[in-house]
Amino acid sequence: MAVGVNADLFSIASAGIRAQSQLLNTTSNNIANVNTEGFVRERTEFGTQIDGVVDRGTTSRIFDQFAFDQLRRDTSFLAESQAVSESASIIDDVLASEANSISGSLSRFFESLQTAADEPTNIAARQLVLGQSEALLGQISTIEQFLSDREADLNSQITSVVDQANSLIQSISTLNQEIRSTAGIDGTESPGSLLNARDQAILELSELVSVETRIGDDGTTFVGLSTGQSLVLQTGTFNLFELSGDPDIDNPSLTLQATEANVTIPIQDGTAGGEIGGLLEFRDQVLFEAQRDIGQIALSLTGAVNATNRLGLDFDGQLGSDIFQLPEFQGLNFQDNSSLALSINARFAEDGFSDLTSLDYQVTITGTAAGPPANVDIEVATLNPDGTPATDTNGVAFVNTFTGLEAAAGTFVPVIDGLEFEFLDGVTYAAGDRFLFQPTKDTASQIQLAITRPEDIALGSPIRVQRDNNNFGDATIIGTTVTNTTVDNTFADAGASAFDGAGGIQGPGASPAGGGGVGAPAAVLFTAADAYDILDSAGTVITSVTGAADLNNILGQATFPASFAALNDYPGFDFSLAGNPRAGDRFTIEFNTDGVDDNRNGLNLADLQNQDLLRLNNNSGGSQNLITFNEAYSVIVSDVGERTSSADIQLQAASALQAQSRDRFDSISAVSLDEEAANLIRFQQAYSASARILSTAQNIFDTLLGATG
Amino acid sequence: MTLRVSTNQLFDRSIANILSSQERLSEVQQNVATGRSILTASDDPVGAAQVIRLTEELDQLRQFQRNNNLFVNALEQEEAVLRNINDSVNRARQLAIQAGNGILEGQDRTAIAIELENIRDEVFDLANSQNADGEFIFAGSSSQSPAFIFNPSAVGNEFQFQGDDTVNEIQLSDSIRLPSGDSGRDVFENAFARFNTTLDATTAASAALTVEQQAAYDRFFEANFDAVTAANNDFRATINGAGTQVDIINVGTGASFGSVDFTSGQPFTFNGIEFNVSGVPGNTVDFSLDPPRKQNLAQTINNFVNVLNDPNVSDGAYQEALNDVIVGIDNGREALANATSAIGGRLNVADSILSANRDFVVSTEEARSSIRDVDLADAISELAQQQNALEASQATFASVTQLSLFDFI
Repeated sequence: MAVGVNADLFSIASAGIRAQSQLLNTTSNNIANVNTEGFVRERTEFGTQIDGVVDRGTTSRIFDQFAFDQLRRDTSFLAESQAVSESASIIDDVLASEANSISGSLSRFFESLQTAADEPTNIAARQLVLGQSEALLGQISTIEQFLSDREADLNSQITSVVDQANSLIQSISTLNQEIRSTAGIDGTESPGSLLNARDQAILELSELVSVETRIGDDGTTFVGLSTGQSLVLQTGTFNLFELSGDPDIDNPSLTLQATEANVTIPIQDGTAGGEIGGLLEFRDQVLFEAQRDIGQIALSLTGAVNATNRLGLDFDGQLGSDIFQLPEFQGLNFQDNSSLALSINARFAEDGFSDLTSLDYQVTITGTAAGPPANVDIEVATLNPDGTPATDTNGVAFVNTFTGLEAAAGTFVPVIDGLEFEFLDGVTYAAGDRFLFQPTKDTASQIQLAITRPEDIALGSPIRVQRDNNNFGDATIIGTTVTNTTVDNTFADAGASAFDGAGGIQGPGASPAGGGGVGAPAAVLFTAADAYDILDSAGTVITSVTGAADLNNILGQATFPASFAALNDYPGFDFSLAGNPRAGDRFTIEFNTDGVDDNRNGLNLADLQNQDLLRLNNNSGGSQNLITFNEAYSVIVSDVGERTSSADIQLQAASALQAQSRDRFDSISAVSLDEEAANLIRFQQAYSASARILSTAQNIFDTLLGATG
Repeated sequence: MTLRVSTNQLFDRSIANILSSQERLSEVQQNVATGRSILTASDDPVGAAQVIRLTEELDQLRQFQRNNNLFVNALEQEEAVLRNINDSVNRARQLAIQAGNGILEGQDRTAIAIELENIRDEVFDLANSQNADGEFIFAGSSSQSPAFIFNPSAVGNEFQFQGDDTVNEIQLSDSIRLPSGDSGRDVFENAFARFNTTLDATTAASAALTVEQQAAYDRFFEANFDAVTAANNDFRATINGAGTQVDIINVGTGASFGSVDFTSGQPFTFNGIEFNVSGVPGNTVDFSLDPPRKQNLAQTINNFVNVLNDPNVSDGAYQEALNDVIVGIDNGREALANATSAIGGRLNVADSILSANRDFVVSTEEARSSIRDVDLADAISELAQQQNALEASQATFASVTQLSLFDFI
């Protein structure tokens, strides 16, 4: 055999010492970095040169791309679940706490109404109603304020998270370039520290948004959103996130801005994943909905109380007025409108409380016409809280068109779902201008008490029906109803009632029948057991009823003159009898002057608690779609609770998944101190052995020297 | 294949175990401390919504109970007032009967009149009863003015009702509202004065008529009185050609009311009206039904007092007044009795609603508790279990993490 290629002992020994110390270095590095975030353990491997000497060896990371990808995905999912769950549980805690519950305030409000109705002349009981009204408004406003604060927190949190994501995107891009420049020259891998830093940055980015990666031949990596849009390109360019709120700056949505071209790519809310995706999901699905639902309860309740109070008679003998003052609000301009100085005002229709929804509305001007009066054509699309179009059960979007709406300052035209719009000046709008209305967001805290005197609570009824003292029959009054108290003695308003607003009912000449005509109904005179004349206050017959089947709604059974019937609800009151009237029996209807000890309307006010008045489902109207106020609140609480609990379950699942993939990744790439301890001993021994080769060579050399010398 | 376990994994796993044990422990501890199994809505979303509704129901039931107390107080006061009036009026009726005793002298009549005046004033005063808040309980919604006033210059009734018919109702349960009082019009004013008849004209030598059988006349009156056409209340009795019968017709309608046997100078009776007519065939007696009048008890007694105090009253007029007061008091007592029994009925209903509501409170509280409250026995045993789990995790943490090869080299 040939022996000439064999290296000498000294070369073998020095190579061995170098190799063992390199191994010891790697092991020591591993030990030292045991707690370094993102550190991947390394291993040095050697080969044998042709002359049998150990070669220079290579140090590489123990890294499994698949395990890492899995960890990255699970990290995104965990961060998303965590963001939703943590944010939702804060709201959940507040809504469920008894101290903050609107439900308790609602109950106390209605209790106070009932107490006041029990004793209509007790001013202290009326005062209590005012106190409880204020407490209720305070409670609603506290919750609204809390939700708005959360919204503000959330927006600043999203902003800072987006900044963080952008700086990570930039550092990944920078690291990519460094990796390309250090690798590839001699085909060796770049330093592990660079790769570790980049992978750590990717992992951190995946906590913020859900990303996918692709590793290139030169070791650089492409990073894109899971939905496909690219963030870091291997060419070295990158795209950054931007937040913009159009038209509502409090509701910014995420877009991607290309750095090299002026291109904006929208990202649909809820698809981003990671913490950003989780926060957006929480904001759109939990926070915005709760905000609007609570707003709807507050507005619908106060609207209903107002409407009922208006049908009553207050302690001073006047027709009732609004107890609560509901706010007016403006439509928000879209940024591409013809002018950003445009506006449309809106308010809640007086009797629209059961039509009110928790939706947002986008109004688009489709046409204008110069006046006078100027008018506009509009298209109204209903939107979910997150800005997506609301659809019916068949998935069809709700879009309504209205044409020829009067556009003049001071004129509110009823449009949709209990809302009235004021188009300030028709001609300043341009077709295509869009406005966003959020009727139930942030408006509830602006509701105020409109009255300060307890006497203004209208517990009585504005009419009283009296049985004539000398009636021969035994019919008695079993109920009176008042459905309309709108005062308009000129009848310009088709909603006018027979109340003259001056403590009376319209007499002859003052009713819609005009001068010389009959007045509003003021008496009923029976001409037979089932027939009666309806008379005005001067005793003139207005109309007669014969063959009455029963004695319910005595006025409702009559056919009134055309001038009465032309109005929506005239005279606006009615009564029912029970018993057997006889011809000649008379019942008089009069304004309830001095009727202070009367709780008929008070009972109606208290009964609002049990009435189904709130529109539950935004899709359709109808009485089957209405629920009580307290029920509505319990629906919100259980809704938020449901979302929180499912977010919690998702969080548990996500944690388990992330723990598993972290475990798998660590099992491959993390440092085991015991393993390194064993290696330390092993390599130390090899080092000693290599050193021994050197001393042996030295001995041999000395022996040779001694033998020759 | 066995997995390689890195050092950090050992720590991470142990710490994760300890943290989750601690979390569960703190949750159970909170359950025990608050006594609630639903701490936030997410613990049981459906249950939380139910609790809100049940709590509202309980609040409402408690309000109904308060309403019920108020209702019972108001009705009991009214009942007491009506009982007092009834007692006084009974005494007035005795006095009236006593006054009908023919041997009474003027002085005795005056003595009875004085006592009746007292009763009249008492009835008037009680009808104007006020409640604790100073509201006149029989005045309807105009409760700040007396229900009745005395107007001596009035034509007709001097004791007049000036309240209205409005009666407040009180909510006793979700579906039941009952009136918490009565209008004075129903209780006092809804009593007819005695139905009477008037002799209008006659062609006979003499004619007189009085209502002798009130019940028979009342039936006739109720069937035939016409409030719309006054002429239909006029009747005519005509002595027939033989002079043996009178034929009676309604003047307004011409309808015949049959014939009654007649002997001149002898009384005959037609539907409770006793006629005393001396006449010849062809003579007529016109009489009419007096329009019904309502008259309260104070007025009825007052009318009689006036007659008692009149020294010049004729025997016939005195007798008429006597009939008026007895019938008037009876009708008034009937209205009182109707009102009293209605009150009793309402009080019974209120009482049964009260106990039904009490049962509802108990069952609703039970339902709420079963959803919201924690089962303490379960919770405490859970607490012990979680404590054990935590202690075990902590113990294993120490033993697992203390093992290091570095300790041996």
